[in-house]
Amino acid sequence: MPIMYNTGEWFKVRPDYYRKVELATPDWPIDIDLEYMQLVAAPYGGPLAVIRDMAQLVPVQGSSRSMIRIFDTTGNETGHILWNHGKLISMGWSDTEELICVLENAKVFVFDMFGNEKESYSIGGEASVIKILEAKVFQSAAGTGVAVRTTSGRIFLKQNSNKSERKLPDLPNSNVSCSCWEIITEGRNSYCLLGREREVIKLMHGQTVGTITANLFEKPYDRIIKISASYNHQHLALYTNTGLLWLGSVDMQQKYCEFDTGRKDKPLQIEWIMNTHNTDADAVVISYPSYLLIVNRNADRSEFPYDPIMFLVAEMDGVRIITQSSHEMIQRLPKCVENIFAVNSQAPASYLFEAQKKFEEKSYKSDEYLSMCRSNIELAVNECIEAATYEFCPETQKSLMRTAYFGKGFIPSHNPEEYMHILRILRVLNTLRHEKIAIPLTYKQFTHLKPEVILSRLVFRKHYGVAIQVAKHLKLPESWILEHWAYHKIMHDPNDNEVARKITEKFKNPSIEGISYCNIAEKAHQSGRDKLAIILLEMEPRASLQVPLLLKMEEFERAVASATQSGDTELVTSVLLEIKKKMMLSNFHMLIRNYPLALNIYKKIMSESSRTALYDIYNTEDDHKSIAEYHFNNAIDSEGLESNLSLIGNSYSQGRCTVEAELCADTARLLKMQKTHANKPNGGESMSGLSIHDTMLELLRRGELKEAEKMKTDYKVPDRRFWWMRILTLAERHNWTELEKFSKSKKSPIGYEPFVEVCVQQENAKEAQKYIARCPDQRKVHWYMRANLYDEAIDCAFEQRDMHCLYELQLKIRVLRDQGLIEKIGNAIAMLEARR
Amino acid sequence: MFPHLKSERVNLQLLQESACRELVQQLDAIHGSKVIVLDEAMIGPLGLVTKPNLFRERSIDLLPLKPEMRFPKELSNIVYIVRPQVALMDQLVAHVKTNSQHGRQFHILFVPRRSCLCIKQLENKEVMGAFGRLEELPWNFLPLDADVVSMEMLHAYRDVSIDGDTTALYQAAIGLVQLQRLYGRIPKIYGKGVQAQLVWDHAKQLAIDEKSLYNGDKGAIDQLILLDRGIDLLSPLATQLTYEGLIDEFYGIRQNQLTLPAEHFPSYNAVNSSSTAANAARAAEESERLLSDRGQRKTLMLHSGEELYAELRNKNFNEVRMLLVRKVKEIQEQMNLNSQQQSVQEIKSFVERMPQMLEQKRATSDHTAIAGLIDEQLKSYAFNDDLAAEQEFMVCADIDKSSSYIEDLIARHSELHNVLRLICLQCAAASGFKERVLNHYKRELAHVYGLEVLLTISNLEKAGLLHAQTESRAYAVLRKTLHLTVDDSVEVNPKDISYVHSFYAPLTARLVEHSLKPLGWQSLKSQINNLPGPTFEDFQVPLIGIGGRHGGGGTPSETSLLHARRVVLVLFVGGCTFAEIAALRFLAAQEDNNVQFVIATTKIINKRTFLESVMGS
Repeated sequence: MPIMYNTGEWFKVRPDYYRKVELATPDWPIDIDLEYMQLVAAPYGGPLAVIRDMAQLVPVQGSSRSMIRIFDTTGNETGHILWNHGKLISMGWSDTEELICVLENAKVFVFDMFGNEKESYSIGGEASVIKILEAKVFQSAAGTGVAVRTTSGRIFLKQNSNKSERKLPDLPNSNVSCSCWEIITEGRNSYCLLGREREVIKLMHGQTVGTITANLFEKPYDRIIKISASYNHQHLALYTNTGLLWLGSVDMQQKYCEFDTGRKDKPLQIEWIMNTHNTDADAVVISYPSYLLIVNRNADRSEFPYDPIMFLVAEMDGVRIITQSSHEMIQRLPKCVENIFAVNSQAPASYLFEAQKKFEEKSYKSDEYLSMCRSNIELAVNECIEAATYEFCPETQKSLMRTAYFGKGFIPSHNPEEYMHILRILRVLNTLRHEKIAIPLTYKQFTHLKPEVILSRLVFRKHYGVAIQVAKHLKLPESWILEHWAYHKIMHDPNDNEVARKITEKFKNPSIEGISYCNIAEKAHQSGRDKLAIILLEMEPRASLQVPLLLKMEEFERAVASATQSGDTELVTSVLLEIKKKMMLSNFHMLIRNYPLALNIYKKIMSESSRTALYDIYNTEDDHKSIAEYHFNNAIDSEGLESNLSLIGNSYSQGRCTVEAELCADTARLLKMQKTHANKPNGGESMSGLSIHDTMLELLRRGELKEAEKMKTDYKVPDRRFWWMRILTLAERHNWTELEKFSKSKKSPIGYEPFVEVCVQQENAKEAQKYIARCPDQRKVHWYMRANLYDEAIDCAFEQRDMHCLYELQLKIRVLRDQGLIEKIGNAIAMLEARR
Repeated sequence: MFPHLKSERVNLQLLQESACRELVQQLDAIHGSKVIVLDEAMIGPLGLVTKPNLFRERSIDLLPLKPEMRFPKELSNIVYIVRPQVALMDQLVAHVKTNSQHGRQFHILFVPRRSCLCIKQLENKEVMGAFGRLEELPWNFLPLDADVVSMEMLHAYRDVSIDGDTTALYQAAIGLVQLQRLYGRIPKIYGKGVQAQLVWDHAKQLAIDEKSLYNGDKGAIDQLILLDRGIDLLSPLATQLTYEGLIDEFYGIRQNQLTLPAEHFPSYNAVNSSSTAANAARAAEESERLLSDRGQRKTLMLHSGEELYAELRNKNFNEVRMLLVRKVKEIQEQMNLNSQQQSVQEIKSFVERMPQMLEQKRATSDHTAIAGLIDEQLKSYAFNDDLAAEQEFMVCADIDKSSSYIEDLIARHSELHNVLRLICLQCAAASGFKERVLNHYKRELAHVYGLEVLLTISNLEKAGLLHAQTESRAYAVLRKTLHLTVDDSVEVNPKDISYVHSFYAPLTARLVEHSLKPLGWQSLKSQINNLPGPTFEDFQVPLIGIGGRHGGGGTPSETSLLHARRVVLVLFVGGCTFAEIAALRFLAAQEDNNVQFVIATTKIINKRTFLESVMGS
């Protein structure tokens, strides 16, 4: 089939095709010459760390100070570390893109990709005492670990700073030094393979001695000089000083092939090329200076001349090669790509591709091609979509997707889900591969890492705009990206108002949910920008979130304001408890007096725990009435009313409570009077504690009318009440004649009903009757009734022709079951009714 | 669990179930054997959301909180359910000190909120180590009846007005959000009064995070009316004349339960019907007995699940007398058929009706007994004299002078509480006293009841129950404009809500009535300007698609809703009386109004409990 595209980059290692894909060319700074450098690169298109190779003699350029420089894949420097930490043994990248540097003295420094130190720790144990000879940073299911080999030949593993180091078993015959080593992980466990002379020794934690495997090669050799495990730790490659290559399974039980490279020079690196379509590997790539060799399990080879120096980076689906002037990826050619683009391909996808091309050219041949794949069109479409995912060149992607689009038109009820999904991801991948972002990921790597991780990597690289667009595109939450953006702004923009303005502008977008000003304010506070934090906090609608941070920043007044504003009394209480501990009491009082709710809550707390504190508050407030009541309550509790009366009275009068003050004075006089009375020889029982009224009653009961009358004038007791006292006490003592005399003494200010009432109370109907006559007419029936004088009541009601009263009476009388009365009232009612 | 809470539009069973779930979750999170110790103030409220068998199933005992308690050795968890009051913590501390043992943990469930003061108190006493969970049961509104929810915070009005502690308002706001979570967004809000406005402001603020409230359609409740107790202090002081109101005033209804000495009920023990009502009452008694030992007392359940009570509760007592007579006759007739039974079929149907009839008989006999007790009380001269004086005030007769009736009461040293009630009532009706009158009363009171009465008076002043005259004379004006007193009021088969106080219509209920009319609130606004506090209204619209649906006449569901009954939630901030509830129920019963009410209150109050709460220091 048709000649196509980049098949020139394809090469065959029988029976499979491989290809080299060119990635964005790195543009190294002028002073970077990889030939004199050590370079370690993170997988998944991550950052690269470069340091001058100490083992080589180098022409000095610029500063002679040693420095680790960190680049992205296109050669943009993202950071550097001035290296004055000690002798660096080895570097490596963790799975979270942190640079791990291992020193000779077993110290480990961890940096982020901008060269900021994150943490440092020591391998610990014996390793710290003995110098480190070699170190490796390895990946395992439990995360990234560090392995070190000491000068004594012992090997230690340390998973991370929190875990203690693990020592691997000693080497048997440790006097012979080994030539190469590799860390292999098996699930969560890691072990070490050592090449020593002609043997491979396996050292596993927990075993007492290592297992030795020998006689792997058929051809003669002296030493194994390189060991390399595949990315998935399933396959092993060994290389001898005689240029022999051994390929086999990692347990060395299975040998794939033995291959004589015929080269005498030492290889730089050996890496397995992971397959694109599964998690296996069939070939290794070996780099020599200026020469690249690819060998597969079938012992077939392919070779390329290359730049003098190159660095291999193993990926989960290929190997990247970084040189001074290029950045390439070697991968096994995916079957679908081969099907479409291979010369003379008979695959349906290939016909479909051609059909689409002809269609665009408006050629009738389109139909011919189409008819050749019509029966397998679904397969063809799917292959085109799949192939697009493997392509790095947007143009190729486009033509493949266009083909898929063309083809799916011929499939009835085609589900476009996958097509749409891939289109979305391709756009994201192309964005990531752009030299500004410089994260050249394959589709497989992308799906393996998960979009969320990619987003966080973008955010970490401060590509906020792109991250938000990607999140939108993939329909993922974006608010957290904004939050990170805000953090970044806080850390780097010195203008408070500007930052706050920018942040609120972005945050007020209603489509963004669950964003918290508080978190950002917290960050601002942590970076010492309290003013900004306060501006941001003011945007936070939830006081319960605002307040704790304000307290932390010692913004007490704002905390009180915010808490009271919210109305949440529990929050107010907690704020008060907190700031009272931290402030001078007087300042505290001055602060809360501006916030009535806070003041009230404080008063309430204090009324239950400390009354004196309450007094202080009233004093600051000049609240004299409350002070009076405070003294009053105290006096009641301590039963010392008398001694405190003047104090209470003074406070009342200061608080302009004239009546209350007067009454205090009255009471003081009363108490004095009661005392003098008690001292009299015929004093009788003490009257202390009685009210003015009760004292007068008591006097009247004792017959001391004069005294009572004196009190009446002294205390301005109204006539009404005095009359009540008189008649009550008279009736109490059944002094009926005196009562009658009194009733006639002058016109009663309370009328004569009370006279009736007191008589009725003492159950003296006869006396009552006297006064009923003097009551107003309309009340007479009522009082006759209350005095149980039903006869008279009926007569009276009848006289007054009050039907209503009569009916009421009838009800009452029925209950009494007095036949005479029932008849009488019956007659009365009948007569009145008759008259109408 | 509580069939009487069921209702079609706003089914308060949901509220009860969600509260119960919260409790169960908390209890299930505590492993091992446990006992629940209840704060006195929580016994009733707990009964509103759970039945005793919930605890029996889990073999958890309930104990009332006492200063000294001893727990059996085998209990590994002591769970307190308490109101967040610091004073209670000291009792807990004492328990911990005497009952601590290895492997035993103490837990506190605060209702409705964890309190940092309480926890601090525990910390100060150094007993925090003994405590496991310190959680909260966020119960704000508790369902009392199919149309009533209450926060059961008796001192809400007092706390807010005297101490300035607005916890009750904040909790009410949380409660409103909780209600909206269950029953959906309330689109229209009207309100009057400072505290009412605070409640609404807080509720709005709190709802900011409740995105779900602002998406989608409105909920089951169409309207919310928030009324401040402070705008109408006359109604809670007035004597209620409905059946339920009188029972509450004389005997006190605690969370739907009335407890009276058993001797008043001759048929007690005799009736052994299997009716649900009797069962419910028994269950209530059981929980009562679990928690206390009060001797021979009878507990009756008073809620809408009781058929007869539902019929009687909101009627003027004068009508109740008549209704009961009619009921007795009916039952007699039904029972008497017995002797004239002819066919077997008739006998069969009679027998089938027996349980129902017996149940009716039981209910009628119970209520006849209660009505008899109340009748006795109403006959007393003092009651009638007080009522007459009260009613004089209501019509503003001689309102500006000191009342000779009150003076006489003082002179006779009659009960302080009642005297103060009448003075406050006069003050409310007069919209304040002239300084001279107020001072006169103060002096008289202090002369007779002693100087200490000044502290009580001070509380009344702070609570706004006693104050100097204001310009506006709000009551006198509104009495006319809103017809608060009705001249030709009838108590039997009334046409107007004024029957609940014989001829006086509670202002709050009148406001609600007016707001029901088209443009009602708008026209009310200018009329009630002279009442204290702001008049406000608010709308909660969904965030998206505001403009979209106008003009088209609405979707079919919306048009059909126009004819459905409106549901109005009336929130009384500071408590309401049974008479006010009766008035609202009366309004709902009028077909023309086409409305249904859900009444929310901080607590159901009456003249006695309200004033006592304010008086206490």
